[in-house]
Amino acid sequence: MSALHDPGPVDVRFATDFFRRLRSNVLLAGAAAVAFLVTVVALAGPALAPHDPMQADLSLSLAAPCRQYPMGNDALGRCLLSRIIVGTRISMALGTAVVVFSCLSGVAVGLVSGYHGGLVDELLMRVTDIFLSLPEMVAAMAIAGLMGPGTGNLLLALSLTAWMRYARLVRGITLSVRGRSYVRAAQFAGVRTWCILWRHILPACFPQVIVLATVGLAKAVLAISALGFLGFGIQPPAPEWGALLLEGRNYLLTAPHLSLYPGMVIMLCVLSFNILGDALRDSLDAGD
Amino acid sequence: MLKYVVRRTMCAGIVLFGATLLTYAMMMLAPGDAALEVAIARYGGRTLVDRDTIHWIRKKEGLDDPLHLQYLHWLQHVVRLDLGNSLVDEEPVLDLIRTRLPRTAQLAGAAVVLSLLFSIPVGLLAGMRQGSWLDSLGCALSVVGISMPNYWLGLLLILVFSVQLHWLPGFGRGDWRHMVLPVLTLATALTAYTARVLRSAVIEALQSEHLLALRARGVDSRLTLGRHVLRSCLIPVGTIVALEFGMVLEGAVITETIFAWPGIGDLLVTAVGNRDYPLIQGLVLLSATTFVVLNLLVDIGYCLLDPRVSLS
Repeated sequence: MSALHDPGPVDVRFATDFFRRLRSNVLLAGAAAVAFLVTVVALAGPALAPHDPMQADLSLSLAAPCRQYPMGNDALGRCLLSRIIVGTRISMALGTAVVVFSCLSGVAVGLVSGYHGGLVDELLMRVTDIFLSLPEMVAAMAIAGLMGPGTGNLLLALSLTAWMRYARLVRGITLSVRGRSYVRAAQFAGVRTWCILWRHILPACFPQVIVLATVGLAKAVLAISALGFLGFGIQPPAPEWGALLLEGRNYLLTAPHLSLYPGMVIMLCVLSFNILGDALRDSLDAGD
Repeated sequence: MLKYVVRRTMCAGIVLFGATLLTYAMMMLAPGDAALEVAIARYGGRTLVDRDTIHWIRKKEGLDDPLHLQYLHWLQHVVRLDLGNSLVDEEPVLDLIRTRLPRTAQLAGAAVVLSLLFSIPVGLLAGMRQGSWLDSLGCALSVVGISMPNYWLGLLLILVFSVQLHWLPGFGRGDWRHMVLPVLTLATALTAYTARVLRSAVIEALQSEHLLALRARGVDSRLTLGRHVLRSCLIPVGTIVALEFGMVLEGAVITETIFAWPGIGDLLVTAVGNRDYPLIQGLVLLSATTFVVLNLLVDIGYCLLDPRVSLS
């Protein structure tokens, strides 16, 4: 059995190449550092915040950044830095959940579609096309808006508009791997279908799915804060990044720091995951 | 060839039909009796309707029928382009879309043209000089452009050009000066994305075997560039332009909200805020149709440019 389980040397070279790039490329190393930092902040959350993010102090209303409050204070005098730090967990947890849900469902659809072929494939791919025909942002907004605000609804809206990429990718790889000799051998040996999918076909899809998931996380974080900014995402007083920006927008003239910092944090976070995704893709191409 | 076009068109038809199904299902997800609201709106808003009339509408629109019949009933209206009336201002949805669409098209057209003006030279140069400083700079700028949240970019532009410098108006719709900032906001992501796609297309074309064969025979590289490399990049460029119009539609939601530009995106945000079901449905259907038709055109264009497509 284990002789047939042959994910191939590609994965190993792929990882080695990526770490070589990580050491030689300053930009990539920076992106990895930011991504790591964001993860740590999301995990540690409130413990890292210098002040209580919900503590209002009207005497500090709209105060500019100073030494004690490095990013200034919002209209209620709450510490913006603390709010951004606490908001990191919201964005990252939701983003990760969206990636996990869309990835699992997309991979399942892709595996079944590609392996089974025939009518099932045709049917599943048409369904994928139908979901792809609704522009992501428009559909997510309509779903989140129609069902009302709420974390679950937001998660559903964003996952429903994101699974199709994984399905298409995995179907393509499954189609090309299905005819390989090690898969044929497993079929002739009478291995069960789900076992073939799990142990022989899924590992072949793994590297490319990781690339897609990394970029997908960036897209999800962007979409979550976009919905927050429009007022259809996570609702205040929760310090979600997009909602912070929405609050800040009202004080663009008097307190521009309220718009500046949350946006900068969103961009740095998204940028770092995009750069990581690009580098992973390059390593993958170099490995082939 | 004709067979391919017919097949693609049929597929597009199926996808569109599925999109109406999804749009309808979306309404089912909404809390409350959304179907009733939509039906009432068709006969002039809530204010005109008493309890007996609601009862009558329920019967007439078949709202007690099984779901699939209700859907078919709704579809009959949609096919006749009867999208119902807005729940809020009681105007027909189609009229609302008709007044707003040209304004969004104005922004979208300008943004697409601007993004092509920048991205085509950058993408071509970066692809031809792969690994040069120009390529690195282009790649770095494009990943920044893609990662830039457009709502933040819009706020920054307002902050710099209207608040600080007083050069351009920060919101509203008027002469060309009102267009500059929204168009820049929309065009940034488009430019970054297009330049990336074009760069990889050029790299792929340069590595193709027929180009290697030409080089081996000693054909001047400037000659091969125009006749072979650029030509094989034509297909991705076509796709990009179509995709760009699709992306602009999404970007318009945010951009129009920030700059108070009364277009389709702004209409959608208001509609979702008001839970104006018929209007939301109309707008979702509109964007799905645009997307499907654009994709169909691209596929047919592919087939005209590259005979291999219809064979596979």
